[in-house]
Amino acid sequence: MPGSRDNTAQYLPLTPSVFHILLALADGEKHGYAIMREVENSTAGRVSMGPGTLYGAIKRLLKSGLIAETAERPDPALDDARRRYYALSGLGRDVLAAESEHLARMVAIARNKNVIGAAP
Amino acid sequence: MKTAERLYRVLLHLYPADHRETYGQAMLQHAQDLERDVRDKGRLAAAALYLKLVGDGIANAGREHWAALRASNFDPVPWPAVLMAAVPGLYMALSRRHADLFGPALNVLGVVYIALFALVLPIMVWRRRCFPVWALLPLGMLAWALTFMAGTSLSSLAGPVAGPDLSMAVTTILNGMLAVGIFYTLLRGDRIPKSALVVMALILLSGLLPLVHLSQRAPVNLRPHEILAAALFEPLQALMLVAVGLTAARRYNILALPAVFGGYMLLFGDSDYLWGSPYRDWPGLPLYMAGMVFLFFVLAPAGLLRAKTDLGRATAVFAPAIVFLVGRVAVPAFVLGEAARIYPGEIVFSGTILLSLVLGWILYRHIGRAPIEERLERPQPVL
Repeated sequence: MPGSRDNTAQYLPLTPSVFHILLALADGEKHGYAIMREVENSTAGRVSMGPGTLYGAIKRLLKSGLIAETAERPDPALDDARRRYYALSGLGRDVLAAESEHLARMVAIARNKNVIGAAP
Repeated sequence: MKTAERLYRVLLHLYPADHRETYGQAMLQHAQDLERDVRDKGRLAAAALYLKLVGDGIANAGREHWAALRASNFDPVPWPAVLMAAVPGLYMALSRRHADLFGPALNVLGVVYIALFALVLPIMVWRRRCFPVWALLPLGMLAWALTFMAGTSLSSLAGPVAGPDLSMAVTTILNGMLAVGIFYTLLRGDRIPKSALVVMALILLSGLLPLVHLSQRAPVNLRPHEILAAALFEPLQALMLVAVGLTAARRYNILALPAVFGGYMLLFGDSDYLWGSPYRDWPGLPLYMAGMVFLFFVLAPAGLLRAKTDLGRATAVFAPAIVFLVGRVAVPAFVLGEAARIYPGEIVFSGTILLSLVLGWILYRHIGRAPIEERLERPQPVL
């Protein structure tokens, strides 16, 4: 979709924390702490976000329309009512895809130049 | 409540209020979740978490304040309106210079300006159904001048015994009544930020300091109303100007500061030090005056009315004031080499004005956070 590409270009490149937050939301909505947990797991603890960092990034992502807060809540008996849940928007998914493709191209180039080993 | 949550609850106070209100509860929950993760890992892990939370809270609170200040929220006021706003200050500069060089001040021009202002303004308001933005500045100056004139007139009713002291006392009472009345009307039902109350108290206290200094140098033989007037004249004047500015803010939403600024121009404009009068023999005086006039009466209104962000507005209002205050100390101390010319009363008065700007700023930000529905109901300012 060329129109979609035009829209996504203005958001690229993403900062590492934004990329990881969007990636964490790629497989479904999550609350802030679950996002942080997934980011920590996927980066083997190299990226760790405190409440201030995480909610600052979430605020900016909401404002730019890359994510949206979801109204649905799990059963209050199973979860804390203070949690807020977020999901990727259509635009957010396009931006994440564009950034991922860019990173994949960079990895391919690095591989061709023998900077890293061949894919397993 | 767990330690991490308690700690972050305190840290949340560092954040801008809207951020705290929107994300505060979720952030507290996050802090509690993090503490649960380290519960079984010992005291060292818990201490490391608390340290991390403190760093996270402080760094990100600063970042959020900076982002809020830099958010582009306003449409710049058109240049013709900026020029109109600069007219009263430039007239004042011209009049002072004329008086310095040729004796009589250019009062005729001032009267013509006020007459035109009084004539044109109602017509503009009637035709456009709104109040022009540029007029907030001269209005702020007029508000200051009117209480002064009213004080003089009312004290003259007392007959031949009336003098400048009685006039000052009456003006002080008028300013105080106006300030209290406007603050009460504006902020009724609102919880005034604690920081605003502290600054208000400092403003009122600042009136007493020069009096204490004077009484140490020479016995002060004043009647009670004269002491009251001397102590409260300038602080109440400053508070009144802030209140006038906030009236404009309530009515016109985005423009809390111009009316304060109108008064602020006059308060600084009324200072001999802005015009360099105490430095008459200094060869750098013309350059100093030109710089101050440009800074206060051209750059500041233009910056204020053209700024797209709160940061721009804050810079436009505070930067000239800070340059002036620094110059007020630096010129006699370092340029003229006459530190004795630094009068504590003048310094404290300058500080009062700076405090009134800070108060105006705190309440401006406070009022700017009114519910969006309420803001939308208000008429928007246009040229």
